[in-house]
Amino acid sequence: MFLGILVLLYFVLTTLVVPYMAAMLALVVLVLWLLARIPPREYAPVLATFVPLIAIVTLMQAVVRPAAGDAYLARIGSVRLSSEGFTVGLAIGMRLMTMALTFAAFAMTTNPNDIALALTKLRIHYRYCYLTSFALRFLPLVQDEAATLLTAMSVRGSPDPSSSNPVKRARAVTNILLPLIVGSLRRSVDIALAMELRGYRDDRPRTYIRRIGMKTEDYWLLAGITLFAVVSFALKFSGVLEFRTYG
Amino acid sequence: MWDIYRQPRPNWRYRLLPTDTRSLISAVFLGLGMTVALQIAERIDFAYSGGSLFLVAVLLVPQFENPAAMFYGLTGALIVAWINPVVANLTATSPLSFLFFATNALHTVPLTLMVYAFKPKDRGFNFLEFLIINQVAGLLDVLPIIWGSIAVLSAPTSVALFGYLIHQVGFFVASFISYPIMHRLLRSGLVPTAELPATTTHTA
Repeated sequence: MFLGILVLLYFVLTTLVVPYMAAMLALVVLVLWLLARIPPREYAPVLATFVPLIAIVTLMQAVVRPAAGDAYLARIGSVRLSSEGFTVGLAIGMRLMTMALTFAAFAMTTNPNDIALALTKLRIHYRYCYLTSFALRFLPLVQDEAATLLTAMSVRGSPDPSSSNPVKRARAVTNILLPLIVGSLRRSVDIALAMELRGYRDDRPRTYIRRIGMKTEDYWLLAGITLFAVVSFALKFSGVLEFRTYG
Repeated sequence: MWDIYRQPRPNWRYRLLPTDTRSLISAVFLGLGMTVALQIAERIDFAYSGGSLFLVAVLLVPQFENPAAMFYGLTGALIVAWINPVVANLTATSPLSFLFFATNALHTVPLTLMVYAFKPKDRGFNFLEFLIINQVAGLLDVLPIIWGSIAVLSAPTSVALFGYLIHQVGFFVASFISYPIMHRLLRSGLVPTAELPATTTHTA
């Protein structure tokens, strides 16, 4: 999966050809649907959060990119919007969607404990590998604590964290920093003690109740990634599609 | 209100590579605190810039990375730097989140090395020293994001450079928030290497 992300990142970052980007986005959606059985409606809200960024980027590209032959789509005062800019903006939008979806796919298909096990297989010390799953396990607790702090602060008259004014919301977050840090450090004292009592610093070889290995789906995915990389390289070096970045 | 900026900071014993459980777990919790704070900050950043600028995030990041880099050495610095990107990538918070590994590490690692090189043994930093160290670390921090703006978002170089300068202002302001927090943390007794002032003992 990680290899797939790297290969995909390489190709989405080196091209802005609209049909190719659309094909890549469709490919990621299909792989998730067929191999991981995750339908698009499950991750649609995640992708929707990128719409404002895509809109801003598209608008910026339309403004700064000159139109071929001085043919502009629209003129608003002295600002002119080019169709080339819109096309590049559309390609960047698909690039962002593809990247976001690939990262989300990693989270949706990978058990956090497996990440720690994979790191152990890479011969990284257990003490550091365990911190990965430890962090993901304690994240909801810290999120709850932050929510409680925000509520407690707003009850005491601090700026409302749900205000539509971004400055007020930023001030609300700044106000919880010290209690959040102090609460985190205080909790870590107890947890560190509990972990030491359970042998966290014991350096003897460890055994694991779960083991990770390649499954049939993983081999299919590996084959798919290889095929995708071969086809993309062929397109890139044969000159069928114009691969270039826009700066 | 401004008195705290004039006082020298209480001293602590700097360790470059602590491996004790308490330091590791404290760093993880600082990383989690940063992740949660950034989840809120990124929503605010999205509201005004669609996620193309990280102004609120820039104000919050040093509040967690400074204690980690200064109190828990290189080990704590790297843990805090990489907890947030792991979560950000797993939850797909930003299309640039794969760059957060480099961004955060480029802030915390130089910061902890500067503290290792320049921290006097007998006292903590005064505000000016703290401000300079933070600003230098901030110069490196946003570089991967600038590269991301150009390579991923295809932003013009001038726009990316403007973003870089705006973020530097954010780091400057962040130092004013961070210094009192560090001051209070050192006096709270929660930092294991802090050298607390001797208390008067009452004997019968």
